[in-house]
Amino acid sequence: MLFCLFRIMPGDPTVLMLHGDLRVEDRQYFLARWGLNQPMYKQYVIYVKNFLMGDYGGSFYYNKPVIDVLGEKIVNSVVLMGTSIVIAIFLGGLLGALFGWRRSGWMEKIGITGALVLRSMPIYWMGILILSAFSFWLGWFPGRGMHSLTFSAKSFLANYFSLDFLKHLVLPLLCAIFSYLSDPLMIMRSSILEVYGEDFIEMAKAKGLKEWEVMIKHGMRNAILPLITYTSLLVGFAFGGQLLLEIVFSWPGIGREMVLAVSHQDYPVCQASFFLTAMVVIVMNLVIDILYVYLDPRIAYGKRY
Amino acid sequence: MLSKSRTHEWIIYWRRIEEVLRIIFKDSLGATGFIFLGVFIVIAIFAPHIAPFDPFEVLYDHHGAIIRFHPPSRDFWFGTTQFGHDVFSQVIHGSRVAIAVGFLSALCIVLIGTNIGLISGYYGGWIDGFLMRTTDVFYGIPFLPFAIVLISLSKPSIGMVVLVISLLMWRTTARVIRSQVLTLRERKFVHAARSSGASDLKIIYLHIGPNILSMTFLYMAFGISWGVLGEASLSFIGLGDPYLVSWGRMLNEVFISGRMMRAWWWTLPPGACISLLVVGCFMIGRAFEEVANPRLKRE
Repeated sequence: MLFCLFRIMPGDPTVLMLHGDLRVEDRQYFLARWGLNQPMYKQYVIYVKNFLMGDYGGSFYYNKPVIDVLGEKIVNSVVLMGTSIVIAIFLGGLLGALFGWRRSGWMEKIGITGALVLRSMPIYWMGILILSAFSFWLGWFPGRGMHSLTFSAKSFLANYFSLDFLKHLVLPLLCAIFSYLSDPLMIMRSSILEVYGEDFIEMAKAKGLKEWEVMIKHGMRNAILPLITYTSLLVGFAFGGQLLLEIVFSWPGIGREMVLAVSHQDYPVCQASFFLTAMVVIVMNLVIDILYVYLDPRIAYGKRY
Repeated sequence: MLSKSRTHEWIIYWRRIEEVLRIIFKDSLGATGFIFLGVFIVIAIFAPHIAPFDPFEVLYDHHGAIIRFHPPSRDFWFGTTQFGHDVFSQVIHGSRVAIAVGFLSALCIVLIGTNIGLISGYYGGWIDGFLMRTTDVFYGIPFLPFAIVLISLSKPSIGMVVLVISLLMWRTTARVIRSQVLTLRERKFVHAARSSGASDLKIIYLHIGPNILSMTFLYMAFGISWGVLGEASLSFIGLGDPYLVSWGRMLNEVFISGRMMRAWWWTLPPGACISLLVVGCFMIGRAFEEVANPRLKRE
């Protein structure tokens, strides 16, 4: 758990270091805001305090407080990312377990090659292909954004559970899942392979359980741990991929906002979105660490064993 | 007498490299991957001779109009772009950037990661603790957002791209090498070396070093793939080097032009090349997986 505490800290120092450089470039705005007499370090302190309390300053481009700009977008991003990660891990885990359990020649080979290929394809390329195939050629799904132009949400929940939203969600979700599928698959496969030789599996088989029951109940329960470790890695990695997906599908999320901010030279938004991104990653890692402790009694009851 | 033993010691590295190459070629996947990589390297080296046109050359037809969005034809094997550039030439020249960035960043990743792993694993104690905390810092940072912030602070260029990729991607290498070193450290030959009076540096680089070489090669292969993907992602966003053609940049141009679905001849090649190169690297990596984890061998 100490591990986690240390990990929370890193989010801030890097962000802090960058503020100084950007500050100097936009003298007018900041001079007006902070006053000439304030020495640099004092400005730092105030800035950090503001940041931690959620006040990110005003956006240059939008002429609105940054929180307004980013607030909704975080939820949008998390919705897409969270769903895709959860599904990818479940599906990847299941398929990996399948491939590990039965070493049947051709199915395994195809599966592994497929996983390898999916992993190597750049996410945005796959996104463009999927977009072309399903939106352009077949016309099954809308091509951009989170809602149709004529849509207006009645309430917060309606925003995210309407059919319109789901229709828009399908393609980016599909793309994300395909992209993130292969690593969990391979990890699950190798850990199932390791578990397979263990005695308790023989025992379960001897008890007369059906093959798939053995696999799911006994095999997967024990093989799942490396997968959880991988999940925290995936969260960090997925944010990057998320960014690219948001651009391709014009999904109004934080990643896309950050890129737009850079091209508009809108520094407050840029800094704030990076900060928020890092925060979300760290929080998610924390959650996963807690989950890991909950699932693996060896860590929790360390001393007793 | 002294020089003979010196050369003898360093020959170990050469033998290990041979062993590594043998491992790669024994596995059919690994050999295929190596061939993929080799093909791209050759293309990259001979790019100006293979490409029929300059990648930034605007092409005119005999009426004097710019040839835009031309589908593949006998003159332009992969068709033309929105700006009248030949896609095939762009793809060929793009391989140069890909290979260069891939190898450079892979080298840096491996150098940084291996050394940190070696030093951290061998010395242990507070050095280990300090170095591992540092790597944890880099662990928490998502790659693309940080890369965007870094590059936006300075001019986008290929140097920056390599720098950013190297800075962020060495983490896994360091971790893995460190755990390998930890197991190797307690082995008899290290004890023997230490008791015969070898200095710490010697032990690290002459005795432990060659034994982790296969891991190093593995991460070199992965490093190339990360470098290529990272560079392509950054270029796709528009933060790559503006003076060079790269596959990511081609995808960016397609996407911006809005014709990505119709101009399939422009969309497919760069993405396919990226995928092939990365698949090649992963296949090489797979060859090592069988060695590292013998239980995966097919019985």
